[in-house]
Amino acid sequence: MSDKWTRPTQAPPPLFVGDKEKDLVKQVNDEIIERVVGQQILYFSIDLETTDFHPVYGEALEKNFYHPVRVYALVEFQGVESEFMDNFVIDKSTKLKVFFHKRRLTEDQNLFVREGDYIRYGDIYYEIVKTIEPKLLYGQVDSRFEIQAECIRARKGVFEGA
Amino acid sequence: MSYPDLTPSSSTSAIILPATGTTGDVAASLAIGYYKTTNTFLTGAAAQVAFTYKRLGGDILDIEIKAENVYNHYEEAVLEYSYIVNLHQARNALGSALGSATGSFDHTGDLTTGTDTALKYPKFQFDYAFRTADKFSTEAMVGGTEPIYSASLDTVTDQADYDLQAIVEAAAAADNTLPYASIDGKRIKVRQVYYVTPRQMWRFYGYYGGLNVVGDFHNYGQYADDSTFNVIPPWQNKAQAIAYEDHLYTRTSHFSYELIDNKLRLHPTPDTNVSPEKFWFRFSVETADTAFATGSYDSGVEGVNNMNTLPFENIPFDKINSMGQQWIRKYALALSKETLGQVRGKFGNSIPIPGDNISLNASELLSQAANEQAALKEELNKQLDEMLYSKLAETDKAMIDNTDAIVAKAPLKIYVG
Repeated sequence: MSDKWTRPTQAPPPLFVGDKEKDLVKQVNDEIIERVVGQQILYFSIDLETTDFHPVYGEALEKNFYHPVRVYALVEFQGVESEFMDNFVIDKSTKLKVFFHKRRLTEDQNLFVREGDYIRYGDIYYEIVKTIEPKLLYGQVDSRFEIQAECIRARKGVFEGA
Repeated sequence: MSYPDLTPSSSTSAIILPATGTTGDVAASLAIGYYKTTNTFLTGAAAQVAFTYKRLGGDILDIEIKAENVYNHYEEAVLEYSYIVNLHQARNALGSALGSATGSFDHTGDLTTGTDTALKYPKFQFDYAFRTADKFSTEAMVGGTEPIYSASLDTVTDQADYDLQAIVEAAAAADNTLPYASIDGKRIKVRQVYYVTPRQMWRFYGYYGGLNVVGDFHNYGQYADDSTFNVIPPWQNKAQAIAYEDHLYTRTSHFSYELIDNKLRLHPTPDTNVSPEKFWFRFSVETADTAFATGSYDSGVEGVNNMNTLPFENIPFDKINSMGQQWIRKYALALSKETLGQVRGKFGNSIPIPGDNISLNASELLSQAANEQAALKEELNKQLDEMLYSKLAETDKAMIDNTDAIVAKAPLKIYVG
């Protein structure tokens, strides 16, 4: 007997969420994110195999990346913040929080959000510094719903996508 | 390396109402399928998809139902329309259709035997009135369809009481050729008790006996019938005959009786001097299905008895006029809203999006759908109520009355010959 099982299309009682329901949620999300809100970014995945890293510090002055992918996501612009660094100089940082719809990324675009990748929003490049997956779809353990990416503006010279 | 697709399609097959329907897909997707062979219906159902798509803004946002849903909404709307109109017509036609042939139906409402009369204009029969009169005729002993039997008993000297039920049952048991031989313990209903005296008694004790003169407001009754030549209408002859008979059986009767529980008591008790040898009585036999028993020439008991047995099919689609078609489109649209509201409302009117939740318009859709359906049905019922045949007569009467009132105000000219 096979130890594999197939999730039924329709949730049998008493389950509330089956594939049909999940697909409806994805459909509505696709529509809202792409056709109602319409915010889009360019996603630059760093090619780890061809990028040369410093053997000690792990930094790469020049980064190789795959072709950028246009991704629709909900972008929360968190503003420009100035900071007086060590009584020495004023620094400015710009932050974004990007909310990705996980199924759209993974199933349709074969894209995975990673720390260290870059995005472009408007004319500015941002580096992903932190990712969070805070939500399961209706508590379904195998249905991670979203990815939140916290991004900071990439300093000039760190990454040039063009 | 190829450039990536900037707008990859979804690997999930989204449920989105298409902009147009496909006539060829309609029949296979219908839940009931009553109209699946009607080409005009199939075309209308496909067109309803475009109507719904445009009406709900499908060219701007997704409508999360399928064309198949709309095809079924359209079918349901047609069936609902047919249901309401047929109910209306049942109210019009039932009085005339009572007793007429009914039919058999399949689960779709299609007649399998019988003739569809939903589209017929009935000839008025007043059958209920006649059916009522039938029973009255029986009770008044002037006709009807219920068999009335007669039997007799031999009087016994010095015996006043006779059990008619026992007499009839004994006779039925002894002779199975009697018309009431199948009485089989059923209760008889005695309708008349009488005895027969020689008819010649009329001449001597008959209509002089205080009955007054009953002939044609003349002295007709003072002469024997066969020597009178007044020309009188038949009803008067009949009235006279009834009066004679009443007189003969009551005023000139020596006996009276009382009947309790089919036990006859004669007054006075018969004796050997003046008693007739036989008393006769007429009776019918009560059976459990008396209401549905038929006389030899009766008809209609097996026919239409109420709305349910009216042989009304669903209205053929191509007999629904433009007013009906528009009602159907609007009702089907309301049904589509209901389904869409149920889809969008499964998650409590709210669906998660990354970082938040978003409220959909399920509640509004369901509310609109319910209100629109109720309003459409109310409007149709109201219009049909105004068009009941009885209402049409009222309308005509009002028009005539009003016309008369107008004419009454017009100055009358003096006729000059």
